[in-house]
Amino acid sequence: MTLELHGTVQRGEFHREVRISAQPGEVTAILGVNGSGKSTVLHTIAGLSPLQTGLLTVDDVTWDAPAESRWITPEQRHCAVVFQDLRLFPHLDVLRNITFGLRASGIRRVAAIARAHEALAEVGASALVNRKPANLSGGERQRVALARALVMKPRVLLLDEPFASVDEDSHKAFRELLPRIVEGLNAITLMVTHDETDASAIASRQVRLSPQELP
Amino acid sequence: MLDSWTSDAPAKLFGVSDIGVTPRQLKVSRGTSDKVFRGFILAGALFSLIVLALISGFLMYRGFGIFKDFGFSFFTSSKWEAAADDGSAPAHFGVAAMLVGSFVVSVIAVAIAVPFAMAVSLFLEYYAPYSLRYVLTTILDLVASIPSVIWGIWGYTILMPHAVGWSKTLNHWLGWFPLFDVPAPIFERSPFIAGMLLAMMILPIVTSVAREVYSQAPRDQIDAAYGLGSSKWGAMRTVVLPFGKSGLIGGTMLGLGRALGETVAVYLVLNLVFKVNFHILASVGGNVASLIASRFGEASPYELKALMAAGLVLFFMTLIVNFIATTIVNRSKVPS
Amino acid sequence: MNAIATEVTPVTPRKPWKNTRATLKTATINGFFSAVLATALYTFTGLDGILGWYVSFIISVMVVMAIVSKVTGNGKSIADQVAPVVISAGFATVMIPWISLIGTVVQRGVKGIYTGFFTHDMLVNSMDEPLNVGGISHAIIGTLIIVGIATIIAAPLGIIAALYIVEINGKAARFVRFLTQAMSGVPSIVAGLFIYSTVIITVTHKNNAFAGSLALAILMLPTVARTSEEVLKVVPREIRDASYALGATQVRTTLRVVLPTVRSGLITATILGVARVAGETAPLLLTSQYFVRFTTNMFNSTMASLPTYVFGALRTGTENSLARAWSASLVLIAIVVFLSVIARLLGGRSTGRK
Repeated sequence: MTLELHGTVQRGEFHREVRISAQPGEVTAILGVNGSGKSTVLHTIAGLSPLQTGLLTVDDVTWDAPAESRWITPEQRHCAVVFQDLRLFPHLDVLRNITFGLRASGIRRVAAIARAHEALAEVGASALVNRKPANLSGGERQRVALARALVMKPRVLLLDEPFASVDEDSHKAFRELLPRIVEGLNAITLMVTHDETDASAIASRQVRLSPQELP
Repeated sequence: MLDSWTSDAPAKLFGVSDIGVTPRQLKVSRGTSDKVFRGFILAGALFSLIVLALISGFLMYRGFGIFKDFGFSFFTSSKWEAAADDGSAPAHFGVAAMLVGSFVVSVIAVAIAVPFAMAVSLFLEYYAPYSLRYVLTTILDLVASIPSVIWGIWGYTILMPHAVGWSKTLNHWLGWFPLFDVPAPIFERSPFIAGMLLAMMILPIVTSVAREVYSQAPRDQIDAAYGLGSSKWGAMRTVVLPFGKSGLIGGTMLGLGRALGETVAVYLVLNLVFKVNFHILASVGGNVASLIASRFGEASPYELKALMAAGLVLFFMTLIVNFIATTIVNRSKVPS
Repeated sequence: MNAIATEVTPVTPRKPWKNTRATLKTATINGFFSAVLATALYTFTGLDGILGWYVSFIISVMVVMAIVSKVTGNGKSIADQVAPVVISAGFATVMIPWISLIGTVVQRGVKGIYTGFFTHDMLVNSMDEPLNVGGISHAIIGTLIIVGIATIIAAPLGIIAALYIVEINGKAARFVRFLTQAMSGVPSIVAGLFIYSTVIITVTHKNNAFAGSLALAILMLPTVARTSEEVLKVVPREIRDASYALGATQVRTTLRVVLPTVRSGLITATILGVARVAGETAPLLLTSQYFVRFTTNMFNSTMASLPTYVFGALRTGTENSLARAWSASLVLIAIVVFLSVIARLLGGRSTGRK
């Protein structure tokens, strides 16, 4: 029961070879300098950009197989992404942001709200329920984005530079918070980062993407 | 001679307060040829102002007598009668029925066109296969250029017989509701049919505005919705539709403006009766534009003045609707 | 690349897009119940014809899909299931009148078309006569003349307005753009009425073709201005800078550098303007009206044009005159569509629509 990705990922003009595998219940860090295609890997797994060649399977289910020119849509993948720039929906309040994914997958409103409160408590952001993203600090937004992904109880959790927009104090707090949460989730977790310290503190495995060599 | 222009590009980009400087006044000295050129272009550009001013000026001048003779009753009365030839009855002109009719027909048109325009623009921007999008968009553009007289002849011969059937069905099931009630069982040439035809005619303009705003919906927000397991519709509902809301309202107003001013097609499929009527299925309706077209041929000089006055009313009505529309559309556009 | 990877597990992965028994079953159930419901709707609601079938089938598919997804509860909300159907069906529905309109115009229009249709006029024939006599040559030439003169007036003014907005970008730029936008909302009948009340009442005292051209020019100007503005905006700043850096004045830069680079775009703008007004009927009814034969007298005589020919034939209202209206409509629609296609080919992507 694992995630296997090998082949060429692409986004726009950019493309590169990757080979990644990950196990549930542990964090796999994807390390590399800027422009090495770390985010593209996450987008490919989430189904936001298709593979050019190769194969992506999760739990023995094929997600993307360019050889058969098939891929399954993001909504069928049971992924949750925390984007580098967070991308909270600006016109929805925190609660609606968090219930969004649950509602999308057909869970009833009452149940979704209950789970949203749990998730908010888990990341220590219960006080923020009715605020709009524009009125939150960087660290608070980060927590909301994390809760928005966790609440899905996803099979695959994708974290893109999860500490990009937090200050030093929250950074430390997150470094302790994240492994705890992931452990409880038993999801396949991939974390893109450029910070070696974060990688070794949180991740049990590391995949290093070399800088893309110019053709 | 010097003309001045402000070098405020950075101020525009960053907002004056952010960089804490007031824009520097640049005095630019131009050559004679440039001054002449700029003057000439400005004069040409202001031509539209002259035309708009002349339109309102002349129609007001011609129609003034009517406003003086009938005062406010020109707007509140539905009677439109030329003076009897033997002088036994004086002329009386009022556009109330036509004004109401214009709005009834246009509102029906908008009510039908907008949901379809939303579906079409979402389809073209997000659902249609890539290979088809260009072709379908081109077809839509071509449809936009079909002359209104051809819509009219089609509406009269093809749409009307079908629409009469639908009207009967509507009347049969919903006739208890005043809107769908008819005083006499005649269903031809009703506001409902005219509105339906207008809906088809304004669909391209509403769609093109909707499509433009929908296409500007932030891509990464849509990705974020997908990244949380949302379906395509989830992403549309959460990101695209709220984002495009004000643009859609603007496009709707633009369509409303078009519908208010449409003449020939309405003339052909609407029974012009000088009576305020809200039974949309009944063969009684009106529209200021088609009033002008239908009475113009045999109008006496005095009635002609009344038509000018009606034209002025129509002109200001569409001008106001369009003003609101363009303001909303321009505001909803992402600054480029 | 320096990836730490385990071997790919040898299990053959499941392929979720393969049709399983379950999906086939759902599809069959959907199809069956939709057909049943559609038949029921068709029979009991008085919907009739192919359109009736179409409407009842679409409604049925949506209802059945909603019910099935509710019953099977496959995790997705009903809206998610039904929305794509609604959106695609919306598009398909919108296309029905288009197809019907084009189809009818072609089908009914070809009946009246013979070679003489393009070479004869209506001087000796009436609208009601059989379709093998009389033609629309006068209307075609009339449209060409009226629209041609409108173009000569409106195209330069439209381009000048765009030049002011983009090239000069003076204090009044936003105001000028606002004016052209306001002008594009002028109803065509008002443009006709205005020209009637100025040119015809005060100057010429009789209806004439030139007045028609003026009315069309008013309607054409905003289209040309708006499209030209889009075209001019695409000219890269560098090209202008290069010209200024070589000591050129603004006049020279505009006339020798900017305008030549966007020539085809400006032609596109003009053609779109022509296509916009070629089918206008209402303003011509008030100005140039209709005349049974071709005339070169622009100022003293009414002149036929395709739209007013169609309108006149339609108002005559006999079987033959109606057939003539369809044939002339076919010619008119062919001209307008031809112009729009040319404009698009010249201008690449559809720059004309906003």
